[in-house]
Amino acid sequence: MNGPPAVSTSVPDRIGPLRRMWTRSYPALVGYALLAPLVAWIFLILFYPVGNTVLLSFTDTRIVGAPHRDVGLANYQAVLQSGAFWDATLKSIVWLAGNVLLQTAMAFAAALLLGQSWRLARQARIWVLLPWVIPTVAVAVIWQWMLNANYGVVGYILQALHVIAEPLNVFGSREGALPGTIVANAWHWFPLSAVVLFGAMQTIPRELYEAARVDGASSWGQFRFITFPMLRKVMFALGLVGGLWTFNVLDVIYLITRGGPAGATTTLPVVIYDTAFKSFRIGQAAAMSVVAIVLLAVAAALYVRFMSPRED
Amino acid sequence: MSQRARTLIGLLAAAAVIVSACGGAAPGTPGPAGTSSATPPATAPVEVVVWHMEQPPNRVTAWQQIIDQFNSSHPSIRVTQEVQDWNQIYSKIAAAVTSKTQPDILFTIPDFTTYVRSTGAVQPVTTLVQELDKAHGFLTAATAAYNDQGEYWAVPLYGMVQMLWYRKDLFEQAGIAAPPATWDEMLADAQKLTTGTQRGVALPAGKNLATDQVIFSFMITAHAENLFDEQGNIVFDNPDTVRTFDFYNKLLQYSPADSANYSWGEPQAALNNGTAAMAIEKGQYLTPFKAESGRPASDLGCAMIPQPATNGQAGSIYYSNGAMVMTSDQAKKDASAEFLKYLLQPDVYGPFLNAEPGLFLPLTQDGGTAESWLGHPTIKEYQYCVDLMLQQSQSGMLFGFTHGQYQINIGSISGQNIIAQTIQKMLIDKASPQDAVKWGQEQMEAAVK
Repeated sequence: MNGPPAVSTSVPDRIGPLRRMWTRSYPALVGYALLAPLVAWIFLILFYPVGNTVLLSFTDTRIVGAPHRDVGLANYQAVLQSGAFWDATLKSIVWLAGNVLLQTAMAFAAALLLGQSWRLARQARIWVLLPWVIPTVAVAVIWQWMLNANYGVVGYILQALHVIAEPLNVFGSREGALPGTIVANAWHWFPLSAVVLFGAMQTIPRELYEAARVDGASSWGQFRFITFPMLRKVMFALGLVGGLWTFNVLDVIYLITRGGPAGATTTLPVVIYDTAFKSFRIGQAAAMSVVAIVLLAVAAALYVRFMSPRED
Repeated sequence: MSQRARTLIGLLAAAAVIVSACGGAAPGTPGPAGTSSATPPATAPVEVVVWHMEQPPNRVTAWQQIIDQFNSSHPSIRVTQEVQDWNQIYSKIAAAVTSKTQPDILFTIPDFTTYVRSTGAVQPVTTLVQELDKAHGFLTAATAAYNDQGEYWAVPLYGMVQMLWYRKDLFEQAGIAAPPATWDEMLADAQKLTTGTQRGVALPAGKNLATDQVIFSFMITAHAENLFDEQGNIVFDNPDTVRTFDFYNKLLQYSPADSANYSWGEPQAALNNGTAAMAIEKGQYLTPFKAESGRPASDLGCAMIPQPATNGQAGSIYYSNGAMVMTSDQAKKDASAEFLKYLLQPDVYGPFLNAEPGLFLPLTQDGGTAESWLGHPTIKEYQYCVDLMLQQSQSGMLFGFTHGQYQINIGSISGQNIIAQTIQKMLIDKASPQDAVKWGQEQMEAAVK
């Protein structure tokens, strides 16, 4: 078998070797030059803060800018032996799992409804985004009002329907606070997933559904054997990005419960924030952040390793 | 132009972008916003930036009017106010000091002052405080909490004290003739006033400063006001603290179900809309009462903080809010001092305090009698309560600053709301008062380590 066609070597010898090298490499140099600002920017906004956090984690810094000394691995030792840290990690896992499940269910339901040809469904493609565009602080206030024990509309309706006898106490109880904040956060973010899933659904060839219907497949069967498998890649990406995003959420929790009551909603970001800005132990909070980064990196690697959609 | 030449120009342009992105402006060169590090011309007014945490619009507007008047009468100085959030200020001021963008004046309370002092940016204002004391006569309690190591670290501006607020109409409906004076009476009244959707009392039990403060008011009345002994050891775990938490937890039975998330606003809203008959807070209850409750001013009752029937004392949390000078620039320091002197002039002090009538109490002798303060319609309408607040102030204290103490570590305890977390151990985790207070002691010891 013949090899690739030989490159012409008939370039006149009057071009010197340096100039020839320059001629060959300048497209790559242009590429590097154009990429350089972006790379510099990424270094500035990503690696500098992370590097600085790592350096802080080896100090006993209590307040940014205040005098401090190096303490070696003492902060890491304290963090890894801290019950509060692991308790918060556990709550973060529950928070993540609850959000992923709820958001996925809500997003799928919304995406399927948006895909219908009804007039209302077409209009809903616009206003389904509302929970997502509402500022987080407004989301917190809305849910605090709706679930308020005194005048919350949810409690009022449930009491009127005799579903509950006592006032609803969601954010003021250990049992209700974490699920309540999960619902509020899932409601805030599900439209993003819904729109992405809806867009991906539009790329599935109609012929597949028609063929399935001819073969007598039910709606559930079509969803299970066509829609769901065809959306795996999108769901994988959504799961990775959304999971990391959700794990790091602080604002919704802090605005609604501030990590309470009695630590019931103190997830990892909350405990890191409190350690830094309530306990004034920036060094220890930095160590917590580094451990959290490692935990998240491991979780992401495992997710990619075991959850990547197969190319079949 | 050849392709090679275009490539060269492209490379040079990219390099220029990198250099301009990474490099700073040359010294003295105006920045992008037109700012300059060069010394302003002699004729330019001295800029004084004031940070405060009084966010309600009425307060901001009232203080802006005073600032405008000052700027008009002092053309060589230009004061601007920037409103901050109490929940963010701890991290924000640390970052600001590090980046040397801190304000020239920062409003404060005593325990926050201990925190900000650790950044090294707070300037002593001893001479200014002594001068103002001579001119206006500060209350002793107002200045004591800012005095440490022989220096004053803030200029006291106004006081705040907690009271028992109650709905006279609801008390009358329940057949209760007078407000409670003791803990036992308060529990009995709260029980009697809890009917249907109405609760006897609305108390904060969230992890926040509001809860810290209300519990501390009761702690004072039970002789449990000292969090530290004379050697600086934590002495939170004692029988008087235990009986206070026991009482507060019992009282929470008659507070709305979601009190574990209550802070400043919820008890006030509950009192005003009639879903609670009692609440404990400072004087911000006066101004909005009629509009929010739809009831006449005469329906808002006030009383001293109830105390234990045995071995109790009058008391309430009281603290003076002050202003720290955060600039080392002499011109700015002088301008800041000029502005603070202006605020305490009796004719200006009244409008300054009446930014929130009844909440901001005078702490100078001539301010307490100034017509500019007393003449405000709200102060006149609730004269009895205002007088009672001034009376309650006499027995007021603040954690970490009791009986002449100045505990530099108190910021670590109040910043974490450990007092509030202790009541949550009882309310949410059903811990006994002894176990909860023991836990609180351990948390405080860890916080100051």
